[in-house]
Amino acid sequence: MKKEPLKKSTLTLTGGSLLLLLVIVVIWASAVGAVPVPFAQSARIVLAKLPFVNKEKLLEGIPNANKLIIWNIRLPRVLLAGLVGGGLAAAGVVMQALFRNPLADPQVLGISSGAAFGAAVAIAFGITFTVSGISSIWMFAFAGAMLTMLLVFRVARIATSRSVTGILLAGIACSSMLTAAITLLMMKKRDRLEHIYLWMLGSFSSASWIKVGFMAIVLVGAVLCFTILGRDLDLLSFGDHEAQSMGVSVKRTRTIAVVATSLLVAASVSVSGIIGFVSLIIPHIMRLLVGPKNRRLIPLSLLGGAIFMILCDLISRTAAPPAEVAVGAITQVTGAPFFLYLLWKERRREERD
Amino acid sequence: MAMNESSVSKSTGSDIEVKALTYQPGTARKPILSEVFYTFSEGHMTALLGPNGSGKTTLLKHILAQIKCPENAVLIDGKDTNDYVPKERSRKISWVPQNSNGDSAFSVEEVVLMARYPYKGTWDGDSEEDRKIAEDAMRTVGVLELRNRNFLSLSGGERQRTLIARALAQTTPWILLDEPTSNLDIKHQIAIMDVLHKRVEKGDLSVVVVMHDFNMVERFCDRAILLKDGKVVSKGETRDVMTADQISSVYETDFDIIEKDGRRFFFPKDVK
Repeated sequence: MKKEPLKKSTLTLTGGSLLLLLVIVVIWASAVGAVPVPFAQSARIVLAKLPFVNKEKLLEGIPNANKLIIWNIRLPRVLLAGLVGGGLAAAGVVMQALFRNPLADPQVLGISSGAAFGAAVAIAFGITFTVSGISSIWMFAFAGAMLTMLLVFRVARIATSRSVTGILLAGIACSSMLTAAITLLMMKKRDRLEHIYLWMLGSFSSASWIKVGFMAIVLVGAVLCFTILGRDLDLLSFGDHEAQSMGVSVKRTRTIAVVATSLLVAASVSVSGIIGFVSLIIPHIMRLLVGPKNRRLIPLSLLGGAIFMILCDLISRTAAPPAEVAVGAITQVTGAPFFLYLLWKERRREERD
Repeated sequence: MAMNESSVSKSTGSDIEVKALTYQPGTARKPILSEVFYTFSEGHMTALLGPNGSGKTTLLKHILAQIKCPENAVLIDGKDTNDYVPKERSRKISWVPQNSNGDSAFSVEEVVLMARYPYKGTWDGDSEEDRKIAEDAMRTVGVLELRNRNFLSLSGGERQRTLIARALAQTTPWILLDEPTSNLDIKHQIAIMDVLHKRVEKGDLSVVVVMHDFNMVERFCDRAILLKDGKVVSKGETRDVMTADQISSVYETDFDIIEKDGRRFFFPKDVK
């Protein structure tokens, strides 16, 4: 495969267009819904949320109802979808680099199942309360994810000294154990079966500004870690020994990356449920566009994942109103065929060269 | 770091000392290395000889701290290899593995530039200096015209040369090579050994190389260690190590040695 080296201008262009697209998608998704708001109004209402703008002037002549709908309902939901989508995609890039496998997915860490188990417990036993905007289901999901993460690390350390395979195996074991436990819970509490199942399929319908803030903080922290480790992750694609001989502190890199990924996934799953495929497909598309360098892949996947998830959530809430289609189902239905198409195209190109 | 290649690679009176190194992993019935003593002194091209499974690669792995060493068994520059952080060690020793595990679609140039990692802070990009060093390294081993090719699409020999370029771009006083010429055609075998040899003669570099080709060793390496079953059978100047007796007994093969133009040529005959 002979190709010209990637020009800096191409990169800037890709990043710039994605950023622009993200802004448009945020505004558009906020405009669409049961009560349609004109795009221009939506843009002004969204922009009024930014600091240093003249709110009064910007919002002149916009009905109060529209403002409230966008600020209180749609914008937090759109932003949460974007943060979760971006986070999952970035986590996917890092997982694939760590496990040196293009199919590695944050779900193999077992954390998603932990979150689902936490949520299932809260739902099954009717533990529903809300403390200053934080619901018990969310709390239980996050706690479940964190406990599973600790358990997986612990088991991995006991089982084997080879941290990567160890974590993978421990993750898969814990994951199937927890999935079985969820199934038992659902059998035992049949009246809550649907609720548990729907939670697991993923949804942004419970979005709130608190969740947005929480996700944003975790995402910024994790992505900062990922970016710092970008070059180390590049070198790790040659395996531990070669990376170390070129100066990478392999153990430290792995530990930081796995912990940051786990936190990010735990936060994402706890606010939205289990949404598959984003962490697989977005990094793959970005890799085709800009090559394997992690410092490019991570920010671009972040943008791509956010756009993709906002659009999927938009479909989820507008496809069959007033009911919602599970967003996890939409990511799979739209993602899988596209993924197959990409693989087919890649194959064709390889054969041609 | 703004310095040119030759000033970075200048040896600084550094040795790699191996002292009483014994290695017996829990599962092994007999030691893979036993009581190995050897000082790789700077300014030499040292061949690591021995049949398969004699411990050559394991010895390299200890020096590179890929296997945890007993305390003070391997000293680099007088300091225990265990006490180095990887970045610091990788400014002293680079490594050319037998086969690379690379599995991402980086270009040849990107792979070679990775070797500049030890000289970089977290947020540094590739400098002009780095690009020039990488370019020189690629030119030296003849992969410059492949610079934009995907590493994964290369042939075995092209990959091996890329890895050698990467090690050169790491600008270390030491390079350890594990059968670096096993996939190369004869022209590139000689060319690469010649490049390394010239740098050693100039005093820029010290080399340790695992090899099975005695004629190459005889031509390019001035020091040799002969290992068998994890023990050092012979060490010192190549001429003294590679005697007909020692070679045939260690490799369990009879050799004819023919002298021509002041050089010896080894012809394997029958397996003992």
